[in-house]
Amino acid sequence: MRRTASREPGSLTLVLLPLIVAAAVVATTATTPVLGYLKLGTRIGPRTVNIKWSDFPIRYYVTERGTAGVTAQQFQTAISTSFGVWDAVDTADLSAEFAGFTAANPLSGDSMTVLGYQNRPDLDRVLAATNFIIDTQSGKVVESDIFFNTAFPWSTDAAGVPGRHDVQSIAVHEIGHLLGLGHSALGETEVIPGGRRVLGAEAVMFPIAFAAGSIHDRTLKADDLAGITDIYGTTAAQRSHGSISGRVTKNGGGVLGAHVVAFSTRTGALVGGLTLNEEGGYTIAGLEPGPYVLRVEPLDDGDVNSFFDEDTDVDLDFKVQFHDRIVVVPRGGGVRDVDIKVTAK
Amino acid sequence: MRALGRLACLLAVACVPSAAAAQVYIGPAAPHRGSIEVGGGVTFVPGFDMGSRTADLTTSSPTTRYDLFTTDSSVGDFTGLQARVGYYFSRAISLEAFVRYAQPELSVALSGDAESAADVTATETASHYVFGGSLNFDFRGASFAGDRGVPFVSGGAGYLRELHEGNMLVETGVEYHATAGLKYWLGSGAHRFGLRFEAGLSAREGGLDNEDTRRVQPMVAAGLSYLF
Repeated sequence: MRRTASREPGSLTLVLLPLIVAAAVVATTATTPVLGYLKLGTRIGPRTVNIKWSDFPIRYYVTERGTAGVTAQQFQTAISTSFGVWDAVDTADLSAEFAGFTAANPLSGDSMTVLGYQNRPDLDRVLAATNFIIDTQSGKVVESDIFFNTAFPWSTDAAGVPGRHDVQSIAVHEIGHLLGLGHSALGETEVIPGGRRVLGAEAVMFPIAFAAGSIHDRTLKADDLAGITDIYGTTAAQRSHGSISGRVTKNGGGVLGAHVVAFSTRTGALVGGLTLNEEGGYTIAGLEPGPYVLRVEPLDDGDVNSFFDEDTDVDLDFKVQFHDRIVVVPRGGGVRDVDIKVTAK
Repeated sequence: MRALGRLACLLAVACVPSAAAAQVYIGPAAPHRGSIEVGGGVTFVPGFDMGSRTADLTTSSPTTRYDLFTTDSSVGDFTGLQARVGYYFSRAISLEAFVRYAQPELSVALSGDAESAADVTATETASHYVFGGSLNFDFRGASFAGDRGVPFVSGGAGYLRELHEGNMLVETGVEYHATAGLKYWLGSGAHRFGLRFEAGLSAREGGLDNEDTRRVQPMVAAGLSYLF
């Protein structure tokens, strides 16, 4: 995954694009985002497999070089804290361990998971990127590297520094990808010359970041928690959490790429999902039990290729609407056939 | 024939005091210790507002949220049925067990969408049960109409069990109630039917509610009783 950015007055929009790096030793495949609501997947033969780590702790290295305003030690501390943010999710079972500093570069294809800097002024919208090497036989993640683009100014200041991107905020997002999460569409933007401006977002995994200096993305939101619980849920979470699934249809046919948002009237949690096939099927998993209302909108608050392959025929021609039934998520199960009919604009 | 007539008369005379003795043996008129009252009827507790909540998003400003839409949740009236059985410890005091059932409608009004989605009210129908007990006190001294009309007070608590539509999720809680009412017996025998009306307050904690709070609602009930 790579994070791209476009400049705009007072803000910088960031977009993550799926990317899988091929390696000579371990064959890889093209990514096929996504399964569930934002899980990264890859196609192995005829089947699609979610990207998921199976061996814990995930041992990662940090490059021994710093950049302007951030020493290697400060960078490593921010990275460890960011891994800790995900590790601290009590409904998910995962862990990571700092294995040491290394002279190796990220994207090195050396079977080491490395986080570090690269100077890529050519990628003028890319702040950071996450890449995977996957064993095409087993589907296991062999290596995942994250680079931070030193073409942009960085900071690890506790309160953030205006004009500088917060290493921890960006790292939490990228590590979400490293763990197998794709993008959340849970945000609203407006198009302005040169890019998009974020009006609001409620997921660290939203592809477009807040302006430089923001530290909002240091903290996971309900959508992120649901996603990581869906992939790495503890046994207790699997028994206590549930899902909503169904179809979004228009004129009797499925709608591909519709953004379905579940809102808990009890907790205020917002969790989103996408319809991922021609039938308009969607699943929103990792939900706490209780009543939810659903809202469906076109995927028009980010570049479609932040979520799907460029050639995916995502349907944007329908009106935003609410579902007229309260949907109740059971403990440890799913409510199915929650079908929502939308109408063309 | 005259001898037979005398014998019949003697038997009749002999039977009268015997019958009177049996009546005294039964004791005072019901209800009395050991009497059972069973009954059923309708209950009504008005619905309540479960509060508003806005689906909002984090913005770049630490003090501002971006409102996506607003929800106003409520539960409709609990109009249902009740069945009860009571045991009299004395003419005035009885202990009752009861079960109440209703099917309230939950609704969430969705409005104020940031992208102009049409307002909608989403609904579901829930199942509401209360399994509980009450202690009743009959004011025998205030009875009227030949002891047929008897005012009473009642108080108790119950286990609240509410199921969302399709039994997808069970929500539990506690219900407390305190009522005052009137029983009007349709007769004076040991076994008799009667009408019962009561009104008071019902408090609930937990259940379907979105908020962690105790709600106190008026309640009324009316029904038929049978005493034996």
